[in-house]
Amino acid sequence: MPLGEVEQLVMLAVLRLGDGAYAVPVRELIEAEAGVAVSRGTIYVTLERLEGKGFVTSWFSEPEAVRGGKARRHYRLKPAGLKALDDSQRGLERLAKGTVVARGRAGRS
Amino acid sequence: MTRRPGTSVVVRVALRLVPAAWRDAVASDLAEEAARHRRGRAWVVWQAALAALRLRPAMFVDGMRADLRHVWRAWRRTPWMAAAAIATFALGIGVNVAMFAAVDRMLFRSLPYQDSDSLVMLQLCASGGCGGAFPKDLAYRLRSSRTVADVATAGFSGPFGRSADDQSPVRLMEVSPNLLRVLGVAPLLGRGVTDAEVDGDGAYAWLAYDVWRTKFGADPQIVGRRLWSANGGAVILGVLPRRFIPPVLFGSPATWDGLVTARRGWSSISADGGGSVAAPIARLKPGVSIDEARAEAGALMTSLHPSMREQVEVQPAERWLFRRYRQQLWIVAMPSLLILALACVNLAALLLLRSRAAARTAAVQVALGASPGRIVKIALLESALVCVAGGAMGLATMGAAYRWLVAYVPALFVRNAESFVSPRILAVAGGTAVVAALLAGVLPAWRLTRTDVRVLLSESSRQGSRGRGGQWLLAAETAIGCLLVLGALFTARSLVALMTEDLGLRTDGLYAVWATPDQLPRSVPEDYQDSLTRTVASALTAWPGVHAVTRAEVVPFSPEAPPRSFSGDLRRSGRYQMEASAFDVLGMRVLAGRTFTVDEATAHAPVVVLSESAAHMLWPGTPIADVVGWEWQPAGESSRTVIGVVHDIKTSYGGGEQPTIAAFVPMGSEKRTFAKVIVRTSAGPPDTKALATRLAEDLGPVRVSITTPSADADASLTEPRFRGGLFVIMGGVALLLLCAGLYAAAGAQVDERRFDTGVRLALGASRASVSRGVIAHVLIPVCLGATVGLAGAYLAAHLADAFLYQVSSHDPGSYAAVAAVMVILTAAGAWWPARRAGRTNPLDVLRAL
Repeated sequence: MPLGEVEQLVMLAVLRLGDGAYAVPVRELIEAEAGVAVSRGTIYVTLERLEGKGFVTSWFSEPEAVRGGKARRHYRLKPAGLKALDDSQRGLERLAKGTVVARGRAGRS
Repeated sequence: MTRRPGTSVVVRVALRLVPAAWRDAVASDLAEEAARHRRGRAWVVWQAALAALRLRPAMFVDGMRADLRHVWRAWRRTPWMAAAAIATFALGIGVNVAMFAAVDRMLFRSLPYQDSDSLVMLQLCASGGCGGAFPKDLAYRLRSSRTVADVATAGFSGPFGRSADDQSPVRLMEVSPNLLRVLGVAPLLGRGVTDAEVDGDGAYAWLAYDVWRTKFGADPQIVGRRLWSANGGAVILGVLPRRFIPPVLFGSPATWDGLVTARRGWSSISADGGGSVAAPIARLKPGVSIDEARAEAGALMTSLHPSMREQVEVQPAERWLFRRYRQQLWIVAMPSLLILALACVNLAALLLLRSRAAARTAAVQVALGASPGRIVKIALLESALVCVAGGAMGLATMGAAYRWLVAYVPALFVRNAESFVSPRILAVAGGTAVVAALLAGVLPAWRLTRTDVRVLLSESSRQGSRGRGGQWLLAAETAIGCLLVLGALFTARSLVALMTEDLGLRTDGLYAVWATPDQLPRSVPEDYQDSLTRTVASALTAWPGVHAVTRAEVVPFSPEAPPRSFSGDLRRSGRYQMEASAFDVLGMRVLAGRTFTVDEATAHAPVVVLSESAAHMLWPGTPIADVVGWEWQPAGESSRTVIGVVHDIKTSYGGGEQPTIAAFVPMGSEKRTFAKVIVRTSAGPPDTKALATRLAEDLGPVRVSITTPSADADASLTEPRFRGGLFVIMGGVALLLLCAGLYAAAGAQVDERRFDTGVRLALGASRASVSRGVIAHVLIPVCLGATVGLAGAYLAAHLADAFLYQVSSHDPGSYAAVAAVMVILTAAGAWWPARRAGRTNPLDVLRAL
């Protein structure tokens, strides 16, 4: 199943954040590293769908030690997600290799 | 411990918008960010709303996709069930939508006239009912009365050809010149008639929209063209709006292709001359109530016709115009509604049976955390899918079959039908599908939510869940089935009675001939029609293949003007002028006495031949043979000697508006005649072109038209045939559905009670008693349903009386027959599962423990 652009960004962020991956840092990382502003809702929907596809797994942390503190929903990449991400990345690399000549042409013109 | 924004009431309310699965995570994330970036509650509320706005639709779509996959897998496991349910709904929704499209404009919508609330129909009513004829002078006086703004009338149709030799003329309804003005209707193309035109001698016509399109190729240059007719033809002034309905109480609104008006016409409302017009339509002046109009019309009636006992009845046109058809429309719509109800009940029963099988799975799902709401959603989704698929299939099938269906549907429906692709019809189709889905899905869904996981999981595997819902549904199915089967039986018997009706005359080989000169004399003498028909009859006497020629006012199955009636108490009577030979040519049977001699006919002797009913009505209890020779004097007329009694004749099928008594007098007894030339041949109808050429020698250029009473008779059966066919098809479908329902119910019963059956057989019960038990299980709801269905049918049966011919809607034999059919059907449907139960091997059951 091919991954969308936002899905790839979210999965890369989750992979990089490790056990500390939840919606807030995922969003911030994407914005900081990829320069892409993604809305909070989009992050939630993407994580929901990735979990539905079996690419990520989630669990709730202990509630924060404040009054009314809620548990955070953490994510981790599953092997199937890692494979899908790798496949997607390789596909992009293969596609990019064929553009070397074209890049030269585009640069000259 | 610090208080965070997430704990305030406003924030908590905002977070309720977020789906439950995400609520805690979103609350936690927002609280963290709010604390880090020093955001207030407003920001948290706004972000929570945005997140909810993004999450809710996405999760709904994802959930729906998953549910659809679930339903798809379930249907794939039982494809026969899906196919049967979809086919049933295709029939139910397709037929209902088609029926709605046909009756919508007549039952549910306002008349297509301007300010139709102020339009009223006028009639003369006596204790015996209301009549179609209305005094012309009263109509004229009402036009200038205090309460009525204007009065118009529409009457009977006559043929008008596109050219002199047109063999398929259009039928134009004669109307008063002011009709369109009174109705507030402007022609779609062309114009109304001017005062100057009204004062002249010409006749002017407007074509119906569909006739203009089909017979005249939607010719935009149609205005000004001329149509040919017996009375000199008419100039086309325009085309009527698409959905125009002529305001006629009597005669079918379908038998018209347009309107024609002339100052000298029969429908002209003028001060000169007496006579009558067809039940007129009037527009009341602003602020005038119907009671005021009725009072004034009554007073005028008394002053103009003090000897007449009839009362003037004034009724809203909106309610009365389709009054005669309204009941019939409901009768026709009824089987469609019942079949849809049956489809709903059938689907509910099938889903319920499956839900019992799926109850354990549902219980486990609930135990594992699935919400009961989702279980309900899946059940409703399942029925919705069936309804939508069935509805789409039904709509597509009906749309594709429309051209074919039109041939079997009465013209009344076709003329007034709404297009299948109109937004209103599509909305009704969608609405019907949704309502049907809810009706069919609610009971199974409700039962699934009541699944008690503890009870179900603690039961041993040998026992399934038992519910009475299925039996109630079976009873409902049987009740509906009874109504449909009874309707099919009644309408089929009625149709057979009509088709085998003794008309009192023979229509085979009979033709009625009309000859219309292109140029009528400037002033038409009263005996013009008499001399014209004489010339035509004379020409046909030596015509090849013609056995006999006569002239008579009896023209079987002709939609022309009906016979004149006698006055006084004999309003529903018919007075027919006949030549001496007409009785033989028409094949009428003499029961007593004789018919006219040629001398009597020639001398217009004061004699009369009565119909059997007339003799019985005039002299009740007297044998008809004794009536011969007696004198009969109708009110206000001279005395006539009864010289014979003939078998009753019927010039149309059924009772309807047939004269209850008929009297035949010699041709020429009246100054004017409406006689036609009747020929009996063995070689088909005379060739119209050759006959026109022959007649041209005496009459100048002439147009000849010939009608075939046997073909017209067949056409007049269209409506009862359609009604009978509809009920028979629906009754057959009902029986099939019922049989399938019985089979499924009995099969489910056998499966559920397999363990009990095994134990009973092991303890010595006979196989026959086990089989009987299964049949009894379904027989009880069937008997209950049949009792309710037949009792309901008996109570409502009087509504169908007007549409049944020689069949009593309370005939006990028919009710008994339907009850017997239901019992036989139950035995047939449950026989195979009962046999399977009887063959249960006790050892297999006990080993499975």
